[in-house]
Amino acid sequence: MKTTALVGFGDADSFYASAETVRRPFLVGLPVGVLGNQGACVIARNYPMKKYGVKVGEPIWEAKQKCPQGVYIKRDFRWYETLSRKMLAEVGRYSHRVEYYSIDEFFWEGSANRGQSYEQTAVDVRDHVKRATGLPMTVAFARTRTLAKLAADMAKPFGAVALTCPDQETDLLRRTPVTEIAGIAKRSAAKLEPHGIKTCLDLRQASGLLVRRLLTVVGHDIWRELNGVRAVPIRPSRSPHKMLARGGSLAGRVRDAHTLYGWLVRNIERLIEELQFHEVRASTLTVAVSYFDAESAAGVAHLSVPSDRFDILLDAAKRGLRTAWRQGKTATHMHLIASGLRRGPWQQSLFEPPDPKLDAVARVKRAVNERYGRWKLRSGATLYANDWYDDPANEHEVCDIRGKFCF
Amino acid sequence: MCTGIALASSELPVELTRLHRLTERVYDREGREEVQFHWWQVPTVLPVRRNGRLQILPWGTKYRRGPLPYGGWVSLDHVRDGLFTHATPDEVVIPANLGQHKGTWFLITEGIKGVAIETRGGPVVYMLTEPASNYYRNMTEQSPVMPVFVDQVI
Ligand SMILES: [Mg+2]
Repeated sequence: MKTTALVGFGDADSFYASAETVRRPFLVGLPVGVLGNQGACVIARNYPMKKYGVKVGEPIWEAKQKCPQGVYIKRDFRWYETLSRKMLAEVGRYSHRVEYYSIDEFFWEGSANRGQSYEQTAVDVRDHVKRATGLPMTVAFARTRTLAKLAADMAKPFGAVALTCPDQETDLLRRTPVTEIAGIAKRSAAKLEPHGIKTCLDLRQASGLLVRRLLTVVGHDIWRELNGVRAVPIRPSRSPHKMLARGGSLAGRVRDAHTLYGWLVRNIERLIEELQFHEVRASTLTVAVSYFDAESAAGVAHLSVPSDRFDILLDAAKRGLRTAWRQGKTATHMHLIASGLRRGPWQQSLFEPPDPKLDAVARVKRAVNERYGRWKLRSGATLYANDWYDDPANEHEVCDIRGKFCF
Repeated sequence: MCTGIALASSELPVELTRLHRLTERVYDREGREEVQFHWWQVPTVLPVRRNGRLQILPWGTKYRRGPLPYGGWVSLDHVRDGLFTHATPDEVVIPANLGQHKGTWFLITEGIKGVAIETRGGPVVYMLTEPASNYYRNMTEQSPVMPVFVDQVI
């Protein structure tokens, strides 16, 4: 298994209770329960209190019966946020791409410290965060977010682990029930059980189509992640992309409008893939064409509503190409640039007609490509560029190396 | 209300512990020693920080017929309205790490405000109270009053 780039994941152990202990050393070692807004329910408790069977969400009058020696504290989110940002900053010393996933969970583009293994790096991150913030954190490295989170959950508290070989993954997945996966609730687990899927390993080994049928796209993404495919990217909290672009050389000189149109469609498909990877939608689309025997030209199309949908983007791209098109001239390069990127949650617009049918087609297309390889199912319009697609060397190109700008 | 407090043993000077036989009040909470002061204990006392000195003082009175207000608590409003016009109330701090009411132990960051009253038998301390916040009520099985905390809002 290649271990060059693993996903890092850090999750503070019983964060609220630990945060209180950081500023009140008196609490070290004592069972601590943090009470919610109204002072009636335990919203978080540390490991010593957990030992007494106190559960999150439990009313205080029940909790204090189970744990009469427990200390109950009013929550203070301002303080928790201060510590949360401190953790984010400390994790940021290890990676430039850190996702602020929740108040006490962070994903990052991982790399092993120079001269250290991933296991040693995990220990280093954990110990550093403890030194710098006083907070205990469990740190895990694995091929995908889902794997890293599962590894961390099983290593708590104050764990430091790395899944660097297939056996470690298999071992972890075998002893972890599917319900341990965030996003697979009891109801989903009940759907899986008749198919003999109980552990995460069962799920990983199941057919992707079956998983999709049972648990929709979300479940399918989890299935891919269990199989080591990164379905959900790291989304750094700062500086999201200002624009995303796809395109490049037209693999020769193109004078024919149909062929150019074929390239346009191909670039839209790749651009959509990229938009969806980053979970953004474009509000502006620019089509730029370079000519062998004329000045480069560009056409800009504004979308009434940010979108990542094929039909809407194609419509906009056609308008852009109309402006950039020089009849009788020889085109050599084409770039499609999406800008005005917006991240969800999406406001359902009056102008973007909800079209479940088109959305469904897009999902199926994505699924087939995921299962049978990139571009196996693509828009019929790209047939004009068929010989290009037939070259396997073109499957992965330089701008597909994510995180860098296309040009 | 608050019927008991706990203070880490390490916060009490050894001679004070010996003088007032506080070792009988030492409790073990998950391996950690603390001294507890409860209203039901006899003698009924509280630690008090007064003029920069830590002392152990009698906590209110359980005699109904004396000149002092019955109980261990007085409301801030009553004190302001002149409850102790005949005596000179002295504002003090009751240092505590934890407070307790109806079996709920809650964290105290600095302490509880109190008043010390001079009597012929020496000073006596009362806890100051105010109407309980909704939060405090829920936490303590609907206690209608809560102690006046030092720089702490519950
Ligand atoms: Mg956590």
